[in-house]
Amino acid sequence: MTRVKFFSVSGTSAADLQLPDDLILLHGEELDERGESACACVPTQARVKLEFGVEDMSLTVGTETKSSDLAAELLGGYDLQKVFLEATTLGFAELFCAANALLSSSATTLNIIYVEPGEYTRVSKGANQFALSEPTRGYTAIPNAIVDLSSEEVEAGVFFLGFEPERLDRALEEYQMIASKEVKLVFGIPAYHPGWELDAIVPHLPALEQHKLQLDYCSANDPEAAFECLERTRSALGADRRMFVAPIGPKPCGIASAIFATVYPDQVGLLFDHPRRKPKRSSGVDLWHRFTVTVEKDAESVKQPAAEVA
Amino acid sequence: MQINASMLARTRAEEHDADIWGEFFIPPYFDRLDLTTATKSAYITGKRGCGKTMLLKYFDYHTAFSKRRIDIPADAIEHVGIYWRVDTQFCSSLKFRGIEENDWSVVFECYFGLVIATELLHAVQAIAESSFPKFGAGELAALSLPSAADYLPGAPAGAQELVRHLESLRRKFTTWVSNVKAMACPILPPGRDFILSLITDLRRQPALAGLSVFVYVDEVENLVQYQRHVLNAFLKHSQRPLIVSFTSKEHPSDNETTGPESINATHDYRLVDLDNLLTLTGVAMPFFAEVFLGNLDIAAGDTTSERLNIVRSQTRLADRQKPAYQKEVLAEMRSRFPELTDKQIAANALQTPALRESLYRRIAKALKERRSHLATEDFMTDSVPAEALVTLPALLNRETLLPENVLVELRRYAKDRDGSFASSWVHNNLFGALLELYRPFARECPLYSGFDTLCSMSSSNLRNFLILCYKTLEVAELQDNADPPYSVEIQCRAAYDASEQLIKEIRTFGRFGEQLRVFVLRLGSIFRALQASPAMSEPEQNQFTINSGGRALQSDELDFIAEALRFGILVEQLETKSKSGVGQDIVDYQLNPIYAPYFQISYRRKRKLEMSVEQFHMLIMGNEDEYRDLARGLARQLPDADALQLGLL
Repeated sequence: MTRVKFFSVSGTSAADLQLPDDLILLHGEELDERGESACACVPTQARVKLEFGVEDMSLTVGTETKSSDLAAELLGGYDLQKVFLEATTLGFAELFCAANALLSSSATTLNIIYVEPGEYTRVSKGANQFALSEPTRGYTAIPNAIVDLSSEEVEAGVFFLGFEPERLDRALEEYQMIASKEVKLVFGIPAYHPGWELDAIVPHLPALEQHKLQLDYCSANDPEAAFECLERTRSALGADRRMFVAPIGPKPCGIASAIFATVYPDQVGLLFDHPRRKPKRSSGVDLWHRFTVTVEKDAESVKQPAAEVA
Repeated sequence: MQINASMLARTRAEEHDADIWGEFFIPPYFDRLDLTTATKSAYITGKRGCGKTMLLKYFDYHTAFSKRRIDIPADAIEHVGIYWRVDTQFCSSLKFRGIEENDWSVVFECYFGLVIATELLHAVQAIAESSFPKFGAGELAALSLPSAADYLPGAPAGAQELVRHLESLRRKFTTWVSNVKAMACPILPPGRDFILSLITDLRRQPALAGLSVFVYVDEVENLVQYQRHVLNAFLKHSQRPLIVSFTSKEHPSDNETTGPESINATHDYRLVDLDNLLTLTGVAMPFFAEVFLGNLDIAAGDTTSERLNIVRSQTRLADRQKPAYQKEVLAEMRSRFPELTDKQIAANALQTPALRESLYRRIAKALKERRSHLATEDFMTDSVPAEALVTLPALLNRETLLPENVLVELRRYAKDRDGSFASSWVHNNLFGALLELYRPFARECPLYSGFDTLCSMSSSNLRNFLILCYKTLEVAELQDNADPPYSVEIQCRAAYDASEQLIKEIRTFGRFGEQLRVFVLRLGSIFRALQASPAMSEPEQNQFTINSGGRALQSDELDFIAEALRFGILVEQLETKSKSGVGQDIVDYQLNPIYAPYFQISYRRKRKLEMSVEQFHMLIMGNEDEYRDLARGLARQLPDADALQLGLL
């Protein structure tokens, strides 16, 4: 039995998050104002950049690169108590690698910072579409959460959706075996701002019409709500069955997905398309969040290494 | 007729269950496939939407040994099909990660063995539950597969126990793949040898003595290179009782194996090009009609109609080849999707005040620009047939024609149906002139209507054809006019909607998805701009060829073209006549005519645009400014006002 608890503190600036002075910030690319602000809340020497290599599934921590299977080794030199994940700038793959590595080591608590934008960048002023990502590189695996969709044991899936319908469309086009599974689409409702939920739902309507998909909702900026949403699917799985999670929506849902896949490695895999996020993809800085996640595992649920050798 | 619209939305094979017995429409090329009697591998190719997946589902054991099939012959055991659609993102994780490629190659081979062996045992279970003679639950329970334990210590010999054992092993394998550094790899069965041993065990059962397993691996082109080489080696060594075949959107491009040999179409496999087979049969139109009408019966709940019975039966293909039958099917479709001749369309257009007014203004403008003393009224008289009138703006804008001469010819045509209008002007210009006349009324151009036109626009692609038809039903329903015949207005509106939907879909087409979509938008806009040139000296351009430039095409440009062809965005055509007249080995690329309604360009294969390698590069990779310069340069005859309206300025 594993117990996961979420605590959150929100405010209008970094000062509201009660951050310790000596934290180590694992962060990603600073692409927009909120990303720059989030990283700037600690001195440069306390920042460590993470980058996931999509082609070779590597992870670079600072200047050191290894297979992301060895993320725990890469992060082993840091004081786990002091590490914070800066989820505004970290891509999902980096976020998962870091969360998984920390929780697989001795950490039982994760501290995560996330900053909401004032506005996402649209293709043009007043347009319905957003300019958030370059064309995606396609769905490729992230070690430690790999799933074989062609297997019947994968019987369900959850997509967290945002403003980019082509990401779902591409998954349904390229992984047509998804059509035979119980698939749930989750929209972030309420959204960060009133009205943004429509920006997410409307472009996905054609996919909803074409495919047999269930709908669900959870608050866009609440990882706990997203985690509960995932738990609802997991609890309906048959014996020895698995599910996949595709976190292609709001980052707080990505945070929940990363922790969920870490906590249930035997039942959950990730499906992710690694978009190249565009510079200036948002403007302004809105709410700041500090999410603290505690994971308590009973002795029997701690993973045992396999004894069998080929 | 009350129809269930959701049934009609199912234009994709994956929306059907694995068992499609009684739902599959036998294509006209079916008896040329020879898959069930094959002694070597097949490489089955077909573009997206050609019916490839449905065909493979039909040959898969779920359907061939369906519980719904009441008379399974004893020789069905000679072709037990296993359709395996690979999860490419899972397979792409079987590389790097601190493990050498040679080791991954062994792992992939074992993965193949594990998956196919499990499927084979599921197939045996399905056979036992089907009407297949002399093999039921008792025989299944008595089956013994002692070989499994030779490869997997502790593996049970009973079929049902072994399948559970293999499923458990697959779970362990997936978990190991996910965590290659945190745990040890479980002991896996060797791929081909393991399957062959199981087949040998199964063949000891008298009813299964003729067992042959045919594996159809789908999406093979998207696998990692070494994985293709592993599968190529399996294909090369295929013979009964285990034959591995491939299916793909494209013709084979990587023929290497894991060893020194390579595979080739003469010795190792038979190339089965489904698109080509359909073209060869020459009966794509009746087949498309059958599928649509059959689906209408299913949606209406009439699942045992005579039409469905004949189309679903393998033994009645000959009946469907009879001219009387085909004539009846086509007539039924033409009555549902009526069309107007171009001349009727012209006549109807001139009954519409807005269009007549537009034509008047364009003739007047042309006369003014030619500084002619003639008046528009001299041309626009009631005695002049509409098909001649609508071509006037183009003709009067041509420097080579004097307005006075055009007027003489017009009067000659009005009086005797003779002269230049009768011999070539109407024939060459009417279609383009109608497109231009309707340009301001984008969604209402009646040229995109009629069953024959729907077939031309779908370019022998079944899915595109069905989308056009179902959109028509949808628009008709929205307009409270659900019963056929569907008016031309409904059909052309539906064609626009279908075209728009399919353009949106392009962004999901593989690694170049968004680039391909932008390319289609750019190319279509250029063709539309060329169509809009006042003199319309080159009407109906919807193809291009790359036949000049200071360098050869580079690999990234060739990759892009290959991807566009693979997804059917471009259709490769033998060269139409070139302006230069020099005989070269050059191909023409036609923009898939399914996109024509969106751009209001011709769906007919007529003229081409010749461009240089450098211009093509700008078209596919240039930024917006570079593209606009290119488009403006190509459509230089277009007045600025029109260019602005068409987004080229």
